[in-house]
Amino acid sequence: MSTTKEKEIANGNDVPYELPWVEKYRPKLLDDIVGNSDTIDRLKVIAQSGNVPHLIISGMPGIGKTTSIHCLAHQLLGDAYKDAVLELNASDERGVDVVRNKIKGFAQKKVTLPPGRHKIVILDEADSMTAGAQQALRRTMEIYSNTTRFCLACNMSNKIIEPIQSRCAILRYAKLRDEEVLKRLLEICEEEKVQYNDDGLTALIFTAEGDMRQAINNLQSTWSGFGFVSGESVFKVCDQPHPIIIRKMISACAKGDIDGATASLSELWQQGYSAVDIVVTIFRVVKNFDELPEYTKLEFIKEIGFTHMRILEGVGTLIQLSGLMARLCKMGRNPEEFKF
Amino acid sequence: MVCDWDHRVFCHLLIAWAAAQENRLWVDKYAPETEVDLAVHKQKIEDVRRWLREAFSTQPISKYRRLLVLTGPSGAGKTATLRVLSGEMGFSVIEWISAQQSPLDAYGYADENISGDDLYESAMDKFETFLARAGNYRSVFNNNPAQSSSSDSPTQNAVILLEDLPNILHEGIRQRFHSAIHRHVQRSTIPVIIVVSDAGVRGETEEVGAGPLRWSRNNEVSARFNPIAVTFLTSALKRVRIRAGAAVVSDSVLTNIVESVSGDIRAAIMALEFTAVRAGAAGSQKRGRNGPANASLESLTRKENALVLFHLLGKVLYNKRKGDPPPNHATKREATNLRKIDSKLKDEPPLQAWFNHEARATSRVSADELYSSTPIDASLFSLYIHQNYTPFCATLEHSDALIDNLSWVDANGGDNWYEQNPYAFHLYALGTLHALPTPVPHVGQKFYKPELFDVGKRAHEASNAIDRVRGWLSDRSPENASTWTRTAVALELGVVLRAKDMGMQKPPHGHGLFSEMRFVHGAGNAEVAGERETGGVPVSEEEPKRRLDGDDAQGTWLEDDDIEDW
Repeated sequence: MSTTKEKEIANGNDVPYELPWVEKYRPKLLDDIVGNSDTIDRLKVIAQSGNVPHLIISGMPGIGKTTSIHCLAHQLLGDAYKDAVLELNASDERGVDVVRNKIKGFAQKKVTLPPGRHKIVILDEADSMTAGAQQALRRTMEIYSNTTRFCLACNMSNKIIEPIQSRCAILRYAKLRDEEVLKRLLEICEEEKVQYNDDGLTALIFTAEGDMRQAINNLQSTWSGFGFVSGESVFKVCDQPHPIIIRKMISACAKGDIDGATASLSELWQQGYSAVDIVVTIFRVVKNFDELPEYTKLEFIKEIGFTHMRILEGVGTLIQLSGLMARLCKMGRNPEEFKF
Repeated sequence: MVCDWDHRVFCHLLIAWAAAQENRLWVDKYAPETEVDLAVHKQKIEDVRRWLREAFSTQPISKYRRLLVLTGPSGAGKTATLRVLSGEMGFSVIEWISAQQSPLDAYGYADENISGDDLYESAMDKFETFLARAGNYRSVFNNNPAQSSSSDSPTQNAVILLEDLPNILHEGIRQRFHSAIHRHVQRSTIPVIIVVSDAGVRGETEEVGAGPLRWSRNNEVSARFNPIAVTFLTSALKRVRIRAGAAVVSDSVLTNIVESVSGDIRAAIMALEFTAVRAGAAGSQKRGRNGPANASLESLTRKENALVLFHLLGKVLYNKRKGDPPPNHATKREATNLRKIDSKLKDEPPLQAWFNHEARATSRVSADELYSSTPIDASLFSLYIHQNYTPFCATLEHSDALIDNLSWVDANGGDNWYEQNPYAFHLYALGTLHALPTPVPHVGQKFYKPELFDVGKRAHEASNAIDRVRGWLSDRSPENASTWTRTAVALELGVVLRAKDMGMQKPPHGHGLFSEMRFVHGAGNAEVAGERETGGVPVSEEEPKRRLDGDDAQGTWLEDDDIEDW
């Protein structure tokens, strides 16, 4: 009995358990990180010289902030990584007490490291730390800087209080370009033998908006759900209204064609999308829609934002969305028509 | 063998120690040791020195030198000044380091079940214990003068440095903190120095920092440190460069650093160290000498309140569009470059005839690209636009359209979004671009920081001062204290105090006719209000010279507006 069981476990590879691709293909070295090459180059220099300053890396989600800190820490510390790195993210308790005790305790801990290396505290999503906790962190950073360096990752560097900014080198990551996301997606498709068409990849990039993590997650879910990555299946997996319908809707609005616009709207509504889903996708389409001149774009975004706000207030109804269509269409019609 | 082993351990330790020395950040390694190294203005150092000298003296004045508050932006040299003076004047600094680990903490953290309620000692408890102990520090030495080791100063002076303040956002804790300080100031002879860094450009986190400044009793002195001046900063950096042997960093890079840190010397040294690493590596790789170092530096050192913002503002406010003539000073190559960029831009799709006046050429700026490449939140962006837009407008209509857009975005959805309104940035950028003339006339526009924060701070200080005056009043005559509302103190008492400051000790007879009226009791509310009004007018009529009080009143109004704004 027991032998067969062991055998099963030993042959665990047969069981189709898959690591999330985001983890499987997470870069291990700074060289593998996509995008922001200037900043990454600078980190490589630090990885060689060893004397890492306190760092703040800021930027949108999914562009490799945490990954590059991890790579840096791995390259600096090698085998000592396990002992010499303390990582806290927003899901960990990070109040004033933790900063006072846990981080301080770690900073006082003795770890044997190669010369010129330091322990590293990684604070992910540091902008979600309370101001009080950040204040408490301030002095800690200074007192223990001989042995411990801090790497903070955050979405908005201005949520970090100035005294901490003053103690850190601030690196800003720009959003990943579509080509950069595409390149990585193609590599993974190659590796995993994913079947896809161009439409599918375009859809992945549209839905991800420069967020590599989301793009890869969506790729994996689409592939394991449908066995083929097409535009259609991507939008089904992401549960987002198809931008082609939205585009049709907006073009109709720009021409003042209320019937066309509401037809597209009710098509989406009947597919079961919520008002928030629809309005968010409308915004995404409009802001990069090159059929709209600047003025129209501006006025449309105003109306969309206004409607979004109402929806957030609790009225996520078809009426609100129809009202939005009507207001957009009105701009597309000659004002003379509305005079009596 | 054992001995050999010991020796090895010793060597190892020694090497480790040397390595630790070598591996310190430059900020620590090259911290100023004498006044000459200190980049702070001499006058400021002198102020602090005089205060300390008075505090340590045996003169009666030392009674009033118990509490010093040093404020200023981060990296202005507040703590460094104190350290240098400590070396120079030979006093020791007892620093409060929050939650020095007691064994209890260690266990408590390893297993939270162990730390029951009775075992828990709050940070505030620890702070109070610390202050109480530190307060006794000197008296121990006084009792045993024989043990005092330093011969030149028979009583070793000491100050208590509070930098890592307890979290005093909570009102109860704040009161405990204040009363602990107050108790200490009354009982002990050891001066307390509190260092408070300004929390940020935003002013939103200010409560943390400004909290401790709201003392109810006012025997504290506060010294305000300004950002370090460019000349001081430059020479300080040059000294560090020499000491660190970082000659690779050229003068132009140094200037670049100085310009980008807005007076924060700590950030400047961090940047210098970083550049030196970079420049060294670049040199060994035989890269171009100046180019890459400069480029990397720019994105490295700019703090968010400085260059990024101005860069962003410039892009938006200069409103460059397809087909704009190149600027006069542009070289031929730049001009052709611009044309190349333009040829890549698509023409704007046609606008309906009835919107004809709103038609614009394609912008060279893409709002969406700006949004993704700049990590600045929309509200700060709008503040900067609001501060700077006027010189870029050519006509009143431009200003009107621009400010109309700003206020539209502000009014629609300011509060309903939690933190971030995803539309705001696009609307601010697009709306501003659309409203401005094209091309924007170049008349040497400059960018300014929003005054809001300064005004807010002034209002905050004024409001604190009012509270202090009210406290003072209630000390003098507790029974009348309640009649002095905040408004009354600001609007009515302010004038009197001002007159008093001008040396008018004896007012002319008869002022009681109007000035005493407000103390009449038993009158109906309506009447009191009426009398107050008449009471207010004669003051300004009688003393037309002191009309200046207008700005006093303004201060308070601003504060009221301001509170609503925040």
